[in-house]
Amino acid sequence: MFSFLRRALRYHWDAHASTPANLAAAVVGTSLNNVMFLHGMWLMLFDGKPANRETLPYFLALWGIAATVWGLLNFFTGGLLDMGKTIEEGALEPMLATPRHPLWLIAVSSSHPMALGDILQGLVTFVAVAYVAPLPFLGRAVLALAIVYVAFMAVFILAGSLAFFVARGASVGGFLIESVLSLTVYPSGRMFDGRARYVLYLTPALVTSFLPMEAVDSGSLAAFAKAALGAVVAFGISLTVFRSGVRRYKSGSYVGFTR
Amino acid sequence: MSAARFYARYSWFGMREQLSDWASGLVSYLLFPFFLFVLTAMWKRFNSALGHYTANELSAYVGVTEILFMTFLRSTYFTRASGDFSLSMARPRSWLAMSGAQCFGRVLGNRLVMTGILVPCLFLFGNSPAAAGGIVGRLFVVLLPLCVLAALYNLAFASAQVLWAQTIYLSLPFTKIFLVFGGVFGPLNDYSDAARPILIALPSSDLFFQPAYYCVKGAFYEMTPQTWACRVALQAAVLLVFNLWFYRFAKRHHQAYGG
Repeated sequence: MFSFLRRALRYHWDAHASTPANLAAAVVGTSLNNVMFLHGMWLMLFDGKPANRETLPYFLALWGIAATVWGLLNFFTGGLLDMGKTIEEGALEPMLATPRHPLWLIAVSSSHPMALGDILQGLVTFVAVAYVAPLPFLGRAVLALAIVYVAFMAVFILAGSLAFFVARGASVGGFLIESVLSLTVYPSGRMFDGRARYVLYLTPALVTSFLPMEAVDSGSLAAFAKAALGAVVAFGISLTVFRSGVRRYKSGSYVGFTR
Repeated sequence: MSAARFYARYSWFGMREQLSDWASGLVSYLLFPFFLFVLTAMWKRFNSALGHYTANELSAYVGVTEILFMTFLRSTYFTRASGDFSLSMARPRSWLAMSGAQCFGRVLGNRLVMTGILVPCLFLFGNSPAAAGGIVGRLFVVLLPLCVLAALYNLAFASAQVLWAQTIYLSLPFTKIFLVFGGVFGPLNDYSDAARPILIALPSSDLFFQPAYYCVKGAFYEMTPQTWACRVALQAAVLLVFNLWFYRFAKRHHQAYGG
């Protein structure tokens, strides 16, 4: 499995490296984009507002985790982000005819060079966390990376699998991913209280943001176990949905134009 | 005169195209109330103590800025325009005028649909019918000049895309400049004393903060309507000159990929 991943990555990397201008523009563009976003959040929430400063470590850790996970997922298993399109355009069919697991093939079918900018940004943000928060807090944030990685993978698979069940599922899936990402990168855990908080507990952001950040904040083993369990359950659900989608999948005609 | 009629019709087609596929559009339009909800909640939690806006006003402010921002510089607009470039060499009409007219129509179409969605959202966030009517009415006053500016920005990116394929990677950080410094995250008059005067003086505030402030409060922020109109006209003139120069440069150096 890993040698297959290594080979797929090498081919993707060769493709990216063959056009260095594109690769550089993608990385620089994403990094600039992220820096702008962070700067904007700083200006809006923290600059000249000492009352909000206690939220700064929380926000930076959240951003660091989200950017790193988003980058890793889209660079190493970028096909998951385009899964809905892959299914809708009929590109899943050849994958079903090979002995390897189709989900695995979908995952490694693509790699997004822009994701390198996200990884870079995530790592830089972790350095910033080290400046504004005690080291144990940083350690917990790094630990939460693994949990959020699994949770986001579940969201990607679930969103992509919608293409099996509904018309224009790729668009609906894109909306789902975009919404979950927004709820994750904004400090939603600190924004909502009362009824709104309970409503948000029903969204996938529960496993991508609320539970992991609760664990990072509190540092309790029980909170970490809860976050990990949430991510694993979400992953299990997404796999079940994918499997039932593949089972009911009807092959579209490959004759004709798909692009 | 007949040329003007032609471009007006072309723009009309662009606008109707935006309204033609409701099912696909619906998903992207769903993001609008979602962002309205999230950004309003964020402001309530972190900035409501500043007292410049009531919660109702803030929801309207976020709604107007999101309408303007979500339709501002979209890669689909300018990649399509640049894709038509080679064909335009064989046409008697100006590519610049055709693409500009099309972008204008598409931006206007999108903004009209989103304004339609904004109205029930305003009621949902507790605005009275009179207040909602005033906000939407004032939005219509500033909508056309803002659509012209948005079309000119799109056109500049389309010309750049003709020359450099990497332009698409830079559109994201470029839009973030407007997101951060234009007051889309939150009203610029809520920002710190150090940042506020600089941000309000930037051209980006004329595109987002000032129109939204005008829609909500009925007057521009520390600026007369004439000053705002002059600033917008100046921005449009600079963009127009820039576009003409860039178009000529692109035409001279363009290489078609062949059929």
